[in-house]
Amino acid sequence: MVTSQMSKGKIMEEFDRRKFLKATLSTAAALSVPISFAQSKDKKKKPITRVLGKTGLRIPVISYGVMLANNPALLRAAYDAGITHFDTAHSYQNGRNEEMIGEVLSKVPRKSYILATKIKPAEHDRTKGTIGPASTKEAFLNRLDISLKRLKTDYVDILYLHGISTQEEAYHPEMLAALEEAKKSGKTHFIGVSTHRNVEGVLEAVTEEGIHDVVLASINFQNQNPKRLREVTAAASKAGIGIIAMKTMAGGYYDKERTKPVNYKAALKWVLEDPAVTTCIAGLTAFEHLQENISVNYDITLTDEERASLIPDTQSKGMACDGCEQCIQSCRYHLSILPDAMRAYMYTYGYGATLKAREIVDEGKEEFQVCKSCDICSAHCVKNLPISERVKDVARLENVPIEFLA
Amino acid sequence: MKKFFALLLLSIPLTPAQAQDKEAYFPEIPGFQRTILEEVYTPNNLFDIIDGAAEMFLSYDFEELAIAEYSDSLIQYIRVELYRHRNAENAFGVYTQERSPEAQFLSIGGEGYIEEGALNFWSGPFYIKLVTNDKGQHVQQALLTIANAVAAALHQDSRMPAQFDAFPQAERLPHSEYYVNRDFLGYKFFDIAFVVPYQQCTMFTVYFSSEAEAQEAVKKYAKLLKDSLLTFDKPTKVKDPVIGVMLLQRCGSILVGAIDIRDMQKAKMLMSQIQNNLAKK
Repeated sequence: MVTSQMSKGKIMEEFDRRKFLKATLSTAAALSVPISFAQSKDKKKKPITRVLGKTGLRIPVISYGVMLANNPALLRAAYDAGITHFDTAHSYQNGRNEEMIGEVLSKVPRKSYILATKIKPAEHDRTKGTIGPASTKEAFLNRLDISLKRLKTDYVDILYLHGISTQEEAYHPEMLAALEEAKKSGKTHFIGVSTHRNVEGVLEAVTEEGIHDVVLASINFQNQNPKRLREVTAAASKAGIGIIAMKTMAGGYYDKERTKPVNYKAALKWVLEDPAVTTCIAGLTAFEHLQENISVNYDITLTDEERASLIPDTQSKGMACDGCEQCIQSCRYHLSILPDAMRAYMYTYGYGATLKAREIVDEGKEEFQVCKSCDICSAHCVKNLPISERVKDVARLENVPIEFLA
Repeated sequence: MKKFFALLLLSIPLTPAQAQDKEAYFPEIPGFQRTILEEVYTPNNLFDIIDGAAEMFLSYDFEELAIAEYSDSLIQYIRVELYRHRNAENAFGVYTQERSPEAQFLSIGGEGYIEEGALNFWSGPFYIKLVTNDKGQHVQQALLTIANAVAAALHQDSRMPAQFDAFPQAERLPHSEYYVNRDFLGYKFFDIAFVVPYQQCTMFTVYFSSEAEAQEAVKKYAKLLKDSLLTFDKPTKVKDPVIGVMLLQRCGSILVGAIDIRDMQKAKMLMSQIQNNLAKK
C-alpha cells in the first residue's frame, strides 16, 4: 500500500522547514559575519569586464557556475569578492541548487547581481537532439515559475533552453514561444540556449536567426579545432550574440583516475583569449578555488608556462609514455611491448582510439600474455606510470569484438 | 559513440551492468511493458544525457548509468535511471544532494521520497531516479510499484553508511543527514565529512586516512585562523572567518565538530557522545 510505505509529511511537520533549511545549509550563520575572502577584492583595482553582446550587460570575466556548490558561505564569499553573475539550472540538485542561491542572494540587492537559470523541455532526448510532444510552452513556463519561487526573485536576467545540440531544438516552436513569452512578461530579461555538443553548429544556427540573446557553450582548451571555434564565436559576437563559456576545465582532470587536476587559472585564461567570450562560469567547491578564480578577474594574460601546462591529456605525464624503454630493462622478461602497451592505453583512454590500440595488442599478443600471467611486476617506469596495471587493462581489448572498436 | 561502447566493454570484468545484469536490475513487472535502453553511460559521456548536472554525479564518483522505461495502457512511460557509484557512501551522498526536505519519504532501499511524477531512492552503491511526464494517482502508484521491484532486484544492504552510527539519534532532524566527499565547508583540507543536523546545532565528523593527515589538516586550519597554537586536542571553540562559531576536536584520525550552534552546551554534549561512540568502534 502506498500509505504504509510512506512516513508521509507527518515527520516533516514535526519541525519547522525554515529551521531545517538553516540546519542543512549549515552555514547560514556565515551570512552575518565578515568574510575574509571578500578582502581579496582589491578595491583599487577594477576587475576586467566585458559586455555580453546585445544584452548590454557588463560582466566580470569570471562568473560562478553554482552547479557543484552545496555551501552557501562559498556563494556569499564569491559575491563579496566581486563575482556578479551566477548560473544555475532548474534541474540541478533537483531544485536544491536554486533554493540555496535564493537563500543567499535574496539578502543582497537584486540589481547587484546577474542571475541565469536553464530549463529543459519536459520531454527531451538529448542524445538524439529531439524534443517530444509533452514539451509544451505551458510546461516550460510552469517550470520557470517554480524556479523563480526557489530563487526568491521575480525575474532572472538570462533564461536558457537547457542542453540543446541542434538547430531544430533551438527553434522548436513551443520552446521558442515559451522563451519569448517569458521575456515579454518580464520573468526574464534575456533569452538563450545552452549547449554541450555541436557547439559550433548551435552558435551558427543562433547567429543566423538572431532571436536569442545569449549562448552558454562548452568551450575549453581541449577543443579539437580552436581556430574554427573562434571563427564561429567571432561571427556570433559580431551579430550581437553574447557568449558565455562553461566546462572550461574540460572535466577538471588530465587523467582517467582523476588524480591530476587541470591548471584552473590557465584553463580560464585560455578561454578568455577569445575576445568573443564575455565570461566563464567557473564551478568551484573550495575557497582556494575561489581565490584562484578571482585572481583571473584581474589578469587574464596566459603565460607561456600556463599555456604549456594545458598540453592535452594525451601528452601529459598522466597518460603519455616517453618511449625511453627503460621499463624493458627492468622487466624480468624484458618485454618489448611495454612502451607500446602504454601507447595503447593512451590511445584508448586519451583518444578513444580503441581500434588502433587493439592493433597494438594483437601485434604483441604473446608478450601481452606473458605480462598478464606474471604475478610480481619488476618493470619500473621513470615517470611512475603503473605499467602492470595498464598492460592488463588494455590487454582486455583482445576480447572486444572488432565491430565495437573505433 | 562506438568508442564509448568499446570502453564500456573494456570494463566488463569490473562492472555489474552487463546485459544480463541490466535485465536483473530492471525486472519484468506484471502489468508493465519494459524497455531496457541499450546505451550505458559512463563518466566519459554522462554530460550527453544530463548536461551540467553531471558534474555533481562525477564528484560523487559516478561510474555508470543504465536506463529502462516501463509503460502500461495508461502511462506512456516511466523512466528508471540507475546510477551506480563507486560505493554506498557516494550513492547516499548524491541522493542527499538532491533530496527535497518537503517530500513524502518512503522506506524504499536506504531511503526514498516521492513527488508528483518522480520518485528517487538510494540503495547500496546505486542511486535510482524514476521520472515521468504522466500524472495522476495511477502514476504515483506505478512509481511505487516499479521502485519497489527495482529495489528488491538490487539486493543491496541499504543501511545508512556506518559512520552515521556514531551520531546520537535523539533530536536529529529527520531525513537530513548528508555526506560530503570533498572540500567540506569549502576547505580543501577538510575532505570527507558526515554531517547530521540537530535541533540545536549541526554535528559533523571529518575522516582522514591517518592521524598524521588529520594533524596536518588541523595545522592548516589553525594557520587559516592565524593561531598556530591551536591543536584541537580538546574541544575548542573558534570563530571561523566564514562559517562563524565552530566547535572542533581531533580524535585520532577523525575530526569531530559542530557548526550552526544555537546551544553550545548541547553541542558539547553531542560532541562528547560522538567521541564515546567512536571510541567504542
